[in-house]
Amino acid sequence: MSRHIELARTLGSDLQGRLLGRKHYGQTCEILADVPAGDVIMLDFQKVEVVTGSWANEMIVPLYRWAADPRNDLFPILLNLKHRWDEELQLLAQWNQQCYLWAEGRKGLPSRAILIGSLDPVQRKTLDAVLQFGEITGAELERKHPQEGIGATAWNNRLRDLHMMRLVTRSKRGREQPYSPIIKEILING
Amino acid sequence: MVMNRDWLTVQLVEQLQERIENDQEIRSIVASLTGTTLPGLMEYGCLRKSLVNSIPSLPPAIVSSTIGKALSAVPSALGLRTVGAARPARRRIDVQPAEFYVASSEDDLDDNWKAFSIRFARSAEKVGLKKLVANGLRASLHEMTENALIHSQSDIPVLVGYRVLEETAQFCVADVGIGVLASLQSCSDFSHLGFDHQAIKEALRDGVSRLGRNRGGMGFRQVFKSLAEQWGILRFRSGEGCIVMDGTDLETDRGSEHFPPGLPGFQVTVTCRSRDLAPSEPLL
Repeated sequence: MSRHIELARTLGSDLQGRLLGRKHYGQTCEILADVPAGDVIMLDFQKVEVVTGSWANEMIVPLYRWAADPRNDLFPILLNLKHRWDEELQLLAQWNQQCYLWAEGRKGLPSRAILIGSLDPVQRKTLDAVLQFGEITGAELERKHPQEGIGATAWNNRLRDLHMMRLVTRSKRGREQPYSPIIKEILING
Repeated sequence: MVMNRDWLTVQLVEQLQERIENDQEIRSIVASLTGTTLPGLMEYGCLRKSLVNSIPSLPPAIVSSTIGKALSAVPSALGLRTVGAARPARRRIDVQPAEFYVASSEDDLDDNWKAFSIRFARSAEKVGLKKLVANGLRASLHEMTENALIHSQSDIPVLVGYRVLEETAQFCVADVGIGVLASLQSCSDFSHLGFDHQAIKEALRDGVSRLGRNRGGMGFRQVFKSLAEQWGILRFRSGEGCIVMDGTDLETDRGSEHFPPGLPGFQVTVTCRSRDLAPSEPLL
């Protein structure tokens, strides 16, 4: 399931300044309070005219931390960002070891997104595997990649990292916890 | 750069300050002034506030100028009148040649502030700046004002002013707080800084604020971004340091620095021109 939030309508078209960012963070958490765990939230920047780094530092950065809290477990996607704002987000992602999914679209879950932020080679390989196979567990990855010599626990640790970064979802299947991509196609370094 | 000896420019303010320190008279110089720049007038206000002994009032030519009249509309310790009510806040977003705003706390960044900053952007557009540039300048104005409110630690409200003329938009944010050096030194990441000009240069870098490295400090980025591909002049004065960048290549490390007499707080002037045309009057 996904929840679509039009930021221009809910927060305004000028998303600037640290103080406003802090206020918007609180407002957004309140709006999202009733969203079930595991859902995707699409923060739509359509019709937003200004986004500054100070605002994003006080709104986007803590929102991702809040979303990763197991009590919330939400998966944000930044929708319809203008290209001139991506430098600030790249910087924030780097400073805070976060990754953001940036997609374009109007309604429904987008089919592809660009990754803002960086993954180390191991994380990248793991994300590629999840994107390739869809729903998958650490044990299944061990079986599918015997040549890697990596055990199920190590794969699971990598999957857990990607889950914390809000790049893959996690569900329950009996005693297993399979991970799935949020979006079918993610362009890394796109 | 246009120079005019009868104008209240930032350079003249520095010279007046040196004369005061050397017990030389300044009254006749001030009395003969016929015009003022925006930062000149605002830094003169900061100088007056910082001195124990009073300095001369500005002559009618300054007070009745476009900038002078606009400054008279707001009561400010750094302005032309310190008491009295402000004129009723304008709700309209019509263009203005010059305007001032006084902010004492974050609460003052309200709907009146929003209307003020929209008027600035619209006024900048009216004199020939592109909408994207004007909106970028408006965001810069917001960032610089918020910075002053958050970091200056002063009881004296921050004074914000803008003016526009022929393809040029300019704003100035002035406070008489603790200054950039003391602000950064309060954080262990920057305790090694010893001079005002070093502190200003450090503060201009991405991710630098008294909260620590990479924990904020995105405000100046917006300033540089809004001036990208424009002809800009940036001036940052704090304590005994001053950094000026002029041109289209606004690299922090390439800014020229000089060492004026000490002035408390932080004074930021951002000037944006759509092209390198010779201004009809001094800008700084």
